[in-house]
Amino acid sequence: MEKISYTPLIQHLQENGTLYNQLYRESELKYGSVDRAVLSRWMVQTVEPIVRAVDALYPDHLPQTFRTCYTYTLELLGNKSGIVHEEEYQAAWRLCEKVPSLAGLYPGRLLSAINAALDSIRAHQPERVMQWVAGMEVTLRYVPSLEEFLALGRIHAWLVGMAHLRERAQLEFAKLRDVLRQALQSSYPHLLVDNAFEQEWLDLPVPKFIYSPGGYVGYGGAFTAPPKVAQLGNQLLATDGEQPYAFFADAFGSVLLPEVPVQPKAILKRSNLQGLEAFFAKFGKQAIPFDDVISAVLLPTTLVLTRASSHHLFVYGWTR
Amino acid sequence: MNTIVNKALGFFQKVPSAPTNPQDVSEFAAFDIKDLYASEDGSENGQLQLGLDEKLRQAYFWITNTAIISPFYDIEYEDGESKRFVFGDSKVEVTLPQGQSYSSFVLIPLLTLAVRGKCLIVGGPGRGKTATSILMGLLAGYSKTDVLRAIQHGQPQMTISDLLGHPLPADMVKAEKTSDIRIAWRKWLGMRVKIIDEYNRIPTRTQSALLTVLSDNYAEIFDQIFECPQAAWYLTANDDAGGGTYQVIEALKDRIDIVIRAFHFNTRFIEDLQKRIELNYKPESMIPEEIIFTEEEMDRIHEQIRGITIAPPLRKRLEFFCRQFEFFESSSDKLEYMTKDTAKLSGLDFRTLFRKETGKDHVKDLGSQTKNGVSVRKIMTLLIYAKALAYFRGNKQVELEDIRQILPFVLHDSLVPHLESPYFDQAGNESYRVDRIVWLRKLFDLSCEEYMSQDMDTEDPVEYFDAQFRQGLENVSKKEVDRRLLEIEKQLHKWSQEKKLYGYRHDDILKLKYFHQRYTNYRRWLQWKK
Repeated sequence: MEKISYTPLIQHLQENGTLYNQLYRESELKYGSVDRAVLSRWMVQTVEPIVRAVDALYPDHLPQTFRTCYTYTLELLGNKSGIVHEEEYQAAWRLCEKVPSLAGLYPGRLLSAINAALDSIRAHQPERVMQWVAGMEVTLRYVPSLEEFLALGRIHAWLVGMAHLRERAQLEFAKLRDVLRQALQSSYPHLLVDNAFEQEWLDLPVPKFIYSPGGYVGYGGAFTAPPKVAQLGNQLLATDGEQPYAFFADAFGSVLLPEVPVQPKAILKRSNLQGLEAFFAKFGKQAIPFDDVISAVLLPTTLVLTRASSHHLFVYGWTR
Repeated sequence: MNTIVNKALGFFQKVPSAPTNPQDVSEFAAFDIKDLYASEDGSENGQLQLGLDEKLRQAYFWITNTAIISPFYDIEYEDGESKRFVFGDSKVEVTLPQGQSYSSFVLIPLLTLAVRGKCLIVGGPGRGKTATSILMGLLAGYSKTDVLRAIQHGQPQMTISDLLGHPLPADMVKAEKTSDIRIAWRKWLGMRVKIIDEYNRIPTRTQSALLTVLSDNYAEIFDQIFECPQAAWYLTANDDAGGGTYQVIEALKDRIDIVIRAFHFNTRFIEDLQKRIELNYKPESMIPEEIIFTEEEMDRIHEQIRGITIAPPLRKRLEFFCRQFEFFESSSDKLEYMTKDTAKLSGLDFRTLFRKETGKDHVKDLGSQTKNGVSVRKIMTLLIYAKALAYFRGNKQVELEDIRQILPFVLHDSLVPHLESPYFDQAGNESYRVDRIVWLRKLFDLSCEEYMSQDMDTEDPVEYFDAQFRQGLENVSKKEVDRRLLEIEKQLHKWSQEKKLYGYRHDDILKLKYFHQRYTNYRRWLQWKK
């Protein structure tokens, strides 16, 4: 079993053994016992490097940093997320090593933000969590404040497919310091070159089928029946008659946000084929090869339609 | 002649050879933060433990083999097929257990020392109650003089000052406020073994002062506080049924963790007594050093006992047993208040209320056999003593037999039998009215049989809901919450189709109501968050 070897940390643990045993027992009461080998691995591979980095900068903050990391580790291992997605969490937590000043001053807020980001990205873009971590890692060294860390987190989340953060990311990007903007642009050249903030779809002169999110709930999708879409204000909504969703899509990915405060009946009532007819009038019929479309919404650069024979949403996009 | 005497005395000081209970040993699983870092001396935590449970067993066998003549093995462990014999008209069965069995009169005081519990030893005069308590004090490392001086002998004139200490006379004259009066605290208050001899002879007012020390671990005189260390308590009583000079207050009785009965003297051992007289042998003067525990060792034992695990199937059997008794259908028309506590507080006659419970099979209903339920304190005591017994036997996990054996001593004075229950009128059950130890053990056996007949190990819906809930509510969607709520409602509906309501179902229903409420609140929070 791997063991912590950093002397100042060992000294702290020796002096505060009772506290940490008590914290473990509290966690054990809530979640059950944690595999000691896994806990030890987490401590050595993830927490110890963070503590080392913080101790080099703020020696007084070692106790607070370790205690926070220890508590959050117990929580992650207790609710099993830290075991099932160990690689993702460990990689994400290691971001704290890159910003020891923030990890020393706000360990709780930092870890909480990272965990929340992973939860959220995993819920909508599970295969792109590591991409978010990698993106953050490249640009993180320019971050001096917690606010910028959070802003950067949102922008990267949008860039890995969290389309609902598009507007927020645009606002945050405008407020970033030049050095951070440049760092982002070097990681994502098309951000400004292709005007990604203005254009939902990049380099698509004519409407083109992009992707078909959704799917049958039994196969891990969202819908129990072929869904219908409708527009409410600027918002695109979808429902299978039971659960309402807000739908966001752009070149980086799409998101179906559940539990929006709209009755499924209201969405069904507003759903129609007017969007499809307008699309046909503008671009012709050849781009849409389906004859069982049951609802469609036409946005300035996006067409979303649904079919009687499918549980998916079909997304078409073009550059403005 | 001198050589013979020395040889004989050497025999009395001989400590039983280790291992006293040979079996496979492996490391204890309890978590310690020390496991996460490399210690300088490289020592492992598990190593010390191996010596301490063995040392505890050696102490036990030294006491039973040489100190106290207690040739009784009433805590029986069977290991394979044990031979049985039946005697007399009453067909009393005697078992010759194949496993290592123990005398409760010695074992339980020793376990009390290990868990720092409160043990009441009941029995007639001259049965070795005080001698056993003194031995425990000596095992804890105190000198014979200290232990003897520290014994508090209950007597009708005992005052609070006799018990706790005196204010210094000079301070009584000079002091301008009570906090200036210094107190000469009695030495026994600071000891880790406390012995109260004949506690039922202490006057009621002094009993209340004793209660504060016993339950809250501090003594108070003239606004001065003395914080007592964690200690093992031994109280003795000649007659537990209130025949002492004073009636023991209920709160004091309630604080006692475990009750044991002193056995009679087996006259086949008079020869041993004769030898003791001839050799002038006093066990308390010859306690071997190898079995004396230091304060650090006692702390370590206590910590290791807490680390002994109780497997979920075992805990479930205990839960099932404990939830049989509190439910009392005729005490209210609201499920939460349908308890024996409600009936007791009303002051109404229990028998009258009991007769209103018609239609139920009172012989089958275990709840009909008691007038009260099992308190939280008793459940905690039961758990810690079961762990201590498993530890004593060199195990790292509690076995069902450990619970079965220790349970009657823990519940002896707290689970009051309802002697008018039809169960006691059944043929062969009359003796349970008299002997509480046997009755309580039988009660636990019946509960385990019922548990098995309901196949609770595999068919326990509450366990399913519990496991689901324990995963936490983080990231649980509203849709999922709605599904779980519906499942709970379906289960409650299923139970509502059962015709009779028994104690075990009472707690099940309330637990599902609890889950329902937690999920409902969480759902409301989700809606608000949106």
